[in-house]
Amino acid sequence: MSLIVTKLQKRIANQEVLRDITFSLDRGQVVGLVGPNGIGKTTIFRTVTRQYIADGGTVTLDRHDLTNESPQQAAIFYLDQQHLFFRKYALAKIATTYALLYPSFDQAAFLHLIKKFGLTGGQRFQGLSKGYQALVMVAMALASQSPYVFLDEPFDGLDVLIRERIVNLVVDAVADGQRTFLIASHNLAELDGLSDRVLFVKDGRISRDLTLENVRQQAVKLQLVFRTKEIPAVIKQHGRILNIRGRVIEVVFPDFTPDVQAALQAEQPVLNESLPLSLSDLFKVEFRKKHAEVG
Amino acid sequence: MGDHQLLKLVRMRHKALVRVMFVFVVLLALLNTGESLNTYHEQQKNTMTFTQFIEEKKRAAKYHDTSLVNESYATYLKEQRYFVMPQRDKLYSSLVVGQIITIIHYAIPLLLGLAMAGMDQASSFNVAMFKSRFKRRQFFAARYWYGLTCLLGTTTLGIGILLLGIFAGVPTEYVGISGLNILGLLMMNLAIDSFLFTVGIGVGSIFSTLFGMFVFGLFGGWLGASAIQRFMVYNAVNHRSYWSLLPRGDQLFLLLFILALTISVAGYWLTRWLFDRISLENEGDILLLPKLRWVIFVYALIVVPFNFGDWLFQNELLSYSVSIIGVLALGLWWLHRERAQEQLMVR
Repeated sequence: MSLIVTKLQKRIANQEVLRDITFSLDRGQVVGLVGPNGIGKTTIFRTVTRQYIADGGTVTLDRHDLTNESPQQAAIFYLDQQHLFFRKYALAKIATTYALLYPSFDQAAFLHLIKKFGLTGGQRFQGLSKGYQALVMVAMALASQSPYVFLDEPFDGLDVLIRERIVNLVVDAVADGQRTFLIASHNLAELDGLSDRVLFVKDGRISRDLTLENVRQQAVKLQLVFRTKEIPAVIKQHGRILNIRGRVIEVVFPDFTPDVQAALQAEQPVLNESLPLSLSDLFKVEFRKKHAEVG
Repeated sequence: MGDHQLLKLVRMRHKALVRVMFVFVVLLALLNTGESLNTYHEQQKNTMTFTQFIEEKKRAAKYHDTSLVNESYATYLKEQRYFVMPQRDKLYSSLVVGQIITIIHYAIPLLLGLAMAGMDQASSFNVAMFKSRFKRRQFFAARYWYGLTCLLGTTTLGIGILLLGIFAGVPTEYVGISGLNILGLLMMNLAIDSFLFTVGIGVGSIFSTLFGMFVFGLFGGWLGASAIQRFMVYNAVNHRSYWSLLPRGDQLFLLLFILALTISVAGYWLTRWLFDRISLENEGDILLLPKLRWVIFVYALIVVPFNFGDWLFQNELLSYSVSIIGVLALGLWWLHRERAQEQLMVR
């Protein structure tokens, strides 16, 4: 069972926000959707879930076309934080309502989850703190039993304890291989430990579809110091400089082949230290202009 | 199964609104019944004696009031005793309708339709429905039929209460309302409810904010109705020969009844078709379907100048020109405002 988005297009205010969004999601993954502010991540969610009518492209789920309405739409669960009709509802009423919207919504599971957070069905959603509202929304996503869950900035403005609880809930939910989470987040550190795969959104397209395990096998992040201040040609050609402090250069080589390694050794660096490659580094590599000033 | 759940969802969502409408209509019917009966009984108490009637007739003649000139005391007594003067063989009895259908009867279906569609949009319930397993047209239909059924049920009950009260409080031989009159009354109720509820749902579905719905939708509707009235008066005065071709009495009533139902059915299909095409990136705009701004613009260009007539120095050319310039200026402001909102929507 896979969700396939092909050549999705959307124009808003005469701007081509989505030009050619193509990706697929299989079950049992946590996928990060990453890109700078205003790049169209929320628009992707809203267009896939038909809040926005797409100008082109298709969304299919097991050969069911979701672009034209389909009962299969219940396989995707997405709560748009700016559009929550149930803000004034009590939590038990939210469960009753969602049981009608999503045929597999498990009310008992939802009430059990919120009880674990110390909440009761009689409490109103709008009376909860931001952190608890986020937890309730994740609980709703889990209780919906929808195989595809979209979360838009789920860690935004939350304290570390709540973030940790959300991460644990997501990890537990994915463990049985029946669920996939597509998470748009600026909190790359949180996403780094959570996601298996990252989709970079750039210029209305999915510019990179990276499996973090593979990336870490191919790419390296090095801290280098050379005898002179001049940056060697091998770095300019194959590397992406993240930072320069004095003569210390932090550089990522997206494709660190033996040839690149040999060329680097030939420059006889004074310091050549490998650093852990994070999602933030990949973000900078993808979105920082190649010859942008750093440091 | 799906339809049943959808109906349950719609019912859950709008039951408070329907309850408010129910209580309001029933209270209004009870109030109206009480007031009508009170007026009737006061009228009976104040019935003039023969001597008083003759004196009144003389006084009227002195002040050139001809209303009592040809009226006998027997006719007067008959008129006094009847709740409404019988027009038994008529489907549309203006006297019965005048007693029972008040201005509020017109406001209720319009406001209910507007509130149902408007609240779903303003509270983001539409967002949840658009991304759910239900088809938009399914949702639209479920909400429409649920609302209209509740409305018709309640307003019919309101009419029933009023009629029962009248039949209970006035001697049967002096009620003056026939079965045919009641049928006409129910037909009129059906026509008013379906037409104005459809207008309410339509306006509530295409405008994105409650402000837009009320200011543009209701004010625009009122201007349109006023323009039609002006047009009819103008034609009745200046083109009497054409006007006389129109049917009268029950024929006219039936024609208007069929027209109201036809417009309601067409309005239902059109709004459902438009609802299918709503894309919510236009939420920040006045209209959820920006292309409709041209329809509204043309509508305003026709209706506004025609409505205001020669308001400026009683000079038609000057008044029309200023009205048209005003509409154009408002249209440009609207366009500018929407462009600014659209820029904010891009993310």
